[in-house]
Amino acid sequence: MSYRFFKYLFLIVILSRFAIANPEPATNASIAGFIRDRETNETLIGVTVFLEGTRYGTYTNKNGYYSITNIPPGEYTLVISSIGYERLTEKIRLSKGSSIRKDLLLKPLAITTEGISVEAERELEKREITISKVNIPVSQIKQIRIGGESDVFRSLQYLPGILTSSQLSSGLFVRGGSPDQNLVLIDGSTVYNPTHLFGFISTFNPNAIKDVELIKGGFQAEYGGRLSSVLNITQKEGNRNKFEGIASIGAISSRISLEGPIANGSWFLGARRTYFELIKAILPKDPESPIPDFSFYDVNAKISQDLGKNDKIFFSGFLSSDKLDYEGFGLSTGLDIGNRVGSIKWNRIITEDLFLSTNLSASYYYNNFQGDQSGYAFEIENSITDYTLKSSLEWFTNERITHKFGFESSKYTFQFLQNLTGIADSTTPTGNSGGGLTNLLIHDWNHSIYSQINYRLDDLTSLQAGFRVNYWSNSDILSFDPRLALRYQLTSDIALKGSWGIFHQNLRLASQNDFSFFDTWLPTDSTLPAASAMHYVFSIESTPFLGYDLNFDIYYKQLKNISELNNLIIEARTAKDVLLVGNAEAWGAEIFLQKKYGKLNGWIGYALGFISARFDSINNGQSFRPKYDRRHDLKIVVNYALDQNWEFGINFTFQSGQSYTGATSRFQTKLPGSTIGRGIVVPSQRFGLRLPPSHQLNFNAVYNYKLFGLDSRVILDIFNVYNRRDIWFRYYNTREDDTKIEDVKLLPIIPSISVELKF
Amino acid sequence: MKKNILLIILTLIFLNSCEDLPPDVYFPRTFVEGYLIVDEPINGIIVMRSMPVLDSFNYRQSLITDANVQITELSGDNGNLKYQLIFRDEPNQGYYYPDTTLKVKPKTKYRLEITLKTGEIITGETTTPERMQWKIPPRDTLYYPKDTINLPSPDSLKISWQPAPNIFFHLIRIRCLDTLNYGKYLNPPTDELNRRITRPWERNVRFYNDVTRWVGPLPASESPVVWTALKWYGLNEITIYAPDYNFLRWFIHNQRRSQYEPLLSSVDGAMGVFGSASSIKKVAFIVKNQP
Repeated sequence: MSYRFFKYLFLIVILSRFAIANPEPATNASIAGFIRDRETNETLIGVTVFLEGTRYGTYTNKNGYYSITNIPPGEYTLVISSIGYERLTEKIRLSKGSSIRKDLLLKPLAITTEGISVEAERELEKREITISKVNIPVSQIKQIRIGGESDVFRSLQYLPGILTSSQLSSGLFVRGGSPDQNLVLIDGSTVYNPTHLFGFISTFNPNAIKDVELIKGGFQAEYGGRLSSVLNITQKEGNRNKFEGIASIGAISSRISLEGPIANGSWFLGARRTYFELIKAILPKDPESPIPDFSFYDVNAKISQDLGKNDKIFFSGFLSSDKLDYEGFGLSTGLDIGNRVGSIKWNRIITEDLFLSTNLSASYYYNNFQGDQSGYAFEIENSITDYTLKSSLEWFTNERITHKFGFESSKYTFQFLQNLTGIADSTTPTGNSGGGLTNLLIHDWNHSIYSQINYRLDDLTSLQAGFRVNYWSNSDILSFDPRLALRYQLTSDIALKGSWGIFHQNLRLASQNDFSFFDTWLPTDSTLPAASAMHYVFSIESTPFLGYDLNFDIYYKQLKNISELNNLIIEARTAKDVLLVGNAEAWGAEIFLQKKYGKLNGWIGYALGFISARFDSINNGQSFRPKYDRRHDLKIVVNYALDQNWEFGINFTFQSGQSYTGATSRFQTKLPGSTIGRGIVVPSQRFGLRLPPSHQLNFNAVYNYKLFGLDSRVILDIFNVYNRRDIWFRYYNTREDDTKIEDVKLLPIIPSISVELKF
Repeated sequence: MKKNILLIILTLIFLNSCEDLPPDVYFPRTFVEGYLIVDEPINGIIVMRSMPVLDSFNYRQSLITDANVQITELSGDNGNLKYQLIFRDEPNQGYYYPDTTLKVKPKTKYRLEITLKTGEIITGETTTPERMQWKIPPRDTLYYPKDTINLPSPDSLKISWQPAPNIFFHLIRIRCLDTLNYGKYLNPPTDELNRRITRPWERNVRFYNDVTRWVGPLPASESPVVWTALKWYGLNEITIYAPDYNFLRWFIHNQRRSQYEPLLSSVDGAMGVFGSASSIKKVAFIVKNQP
């Protein structure tokens, strides 16, 4: 069935150019250009551009570019609208065969006006086919904080259907998928370890971000290599008109971001770092209880330049680093985790209806651990280096059809060096593993091509079809990923959407769920099949009241050959040694009511989810639900701007408790010569029981004021307002003869204050 | 009507979100633990019935003492040799072979067969590793560093051994031979009592009350003296084990798991281990650095 379907889909995409698309009459005209913010001159994403009273319209792509083609000659009113900007209208005259370039500036609104925003939102929605796509305005992301830190991942965790392993982890479990199944992109480059504090918060500084887009399932053919979701983050380009900056001091870290014009473009530099080591320096030292050294930092940088009217070039950089050092009682350890990402992107408008984007990027993730116990030295170093060249060509064929073609070639280098022999300078040749020494260097290539078409069949129905072909050289796997999405406008306020797709993933992450201490990326080698998924998503998207979006999604996801870390491993030579492989299914429903703008904004989301996994080597081969499975998941986010000085926000979550494993009996094991030994419990069904429900309320208040004439803010955060100590995990303490069932609790109430200054 | 539907939905959500209390059911399982140590008699084979979690665990009561336990030496010089084991409580609990002059041989395959009164049959096999030897044994006397924070370990205290063929991981056991007396081993003897080496983080760790400390698996054939591995001053026995794969896996279970993990088990018909190891040992006296 799937083969025939794939052939059909392939034909749709390839032949659409010849069979479906109406050739553009030479007499018709087109209009295209960039839309920018008038104050900063920065390009704007997702701005709706349409000709009033006609069906001709579009929205700006990730580069702020729009193109409307095949317009009959005549006089029109061009309307440009976007949330947070004044509506712009302009009379235009299109003559026969003309091709007009219209770069326009939108004026930001001091206060987001609901009427304009509603219109912009509606126009955008009408043209959006992609299913399960969520855009959270960056201003809202900044208002959701934990421990005084606003954070992208923490904000996304407040969406229905996105689960966590615990409050300590910012890892995103999207519709039953694990965090390594999410494609995390920053300016088009993959980020392999997007967390600080070993998973507590993400590496993305909200001050450096322009746009956050999450696709929870059924994503387009232009994205590949992951099974569950796409998180596409666009960094700020910087203010093209004037120099400005923001500095802030928070409980965990301080930040600064600077931006300004340079030559024919702009620059942006954002940085964030902790200062725990500075605080530690003034604390009294207790040699009996040494405090570990801990620090993290991240840096975002971007330069954009216009090379003439039709060419733009971007240089992006992103660095992050976490360090943890401990010294005491003859033991010294050091953990160093980081990302280095750099990219050059070139955008070219070939003709008004052809937009080319080419990106060359390098992404390096490393995780190094060294230790020494009274002269017994050990070290584990692992890294992944990814050089990627990708290019996409968007062809705004006519008012009904947009094509997108592209390729992506990645060269991966995986390095894994482990020396547990006790001798620091022990070496073994590359490719060897054994006797406590492992030195692996693996090269892999991945080549992908894709093609997708957005086809507006009539005024009510749109189709998005595409396919992606992937080839991985190391495992010699060729995979075909067809994707299909349909949109039908049922009434003016209700749209029905459906999506189906096949997804493949070659990279695997060996990681613990709760902490990202020793995260290791591995390629699928000849010992493992590639992981794959099939998504079925159906969605009803509506606007029941002015300014409110109400979406209802149901999904079913099949996951094959997914992996779990084998914690019992003694020595590894292949991916199969490190990972246990099995299948899973996830299904559920989500309801999401969102108000993006106005004095009162936020959302309420509820998800009902089921996950069932089956691994031959786990739970005696019987199916089980993973630890992070939560049946019910309710999230509420409310922000309220009282006046020009005061803003308030709350976010609340209520979820079914996490799963845990009970015990049905106990025995005692003693190694030779041991006098006490250790109590071991015999488990019941794996993760067959639930902990009490988790719930938590966080509150923040922001006071805006002028300090020496500069815009300033004081932010008060109260994490876990009513001090609900959720349970992290439950275990059986068998240290004594009486077995105790004990709960390890999560974080208590944490108030914090941070200060922000804009200059 | 709408209100009622909403109420029913909310009630269902609430009920479905409720906590599941830990189960109080009891499913007894049989556990077997047996290690054959090269050049030592066959003893300490444990057959145990797991006990209810909510009851106080009684080691003696959990033992199955009426099983038929046999060990067969496969392909011995005179064909397969069967040893019938009997249960004893003292000095070491478990099934043993009464002829203590019979020692476990290196590089030999042994088969364990247990028949319970219920008719259940439990089996396991192990091949003993070859013998190993010290290259640099521990010194007779070790002086615990006065610098108890940095705990330096000079190279001169390093120990090393010649590993058995095809054995890449080793286990180290440090066992205090006399937790009570200290001075009587000095020259001249005193009546000074022994005591624990205290460390702030150790009071609540597993195995705190056990006289042994196990370190490993060590993918090496040498090691410095890791001072934090010592629990008591005074007389200690340092043993290096070269374990077979069964023993090695169960060691990992013992150290890392508090829930039974079938992938680390090596017997059929029950939970547990039937493994073997060769070993070398040396007694050393740890001198207190301060009163």
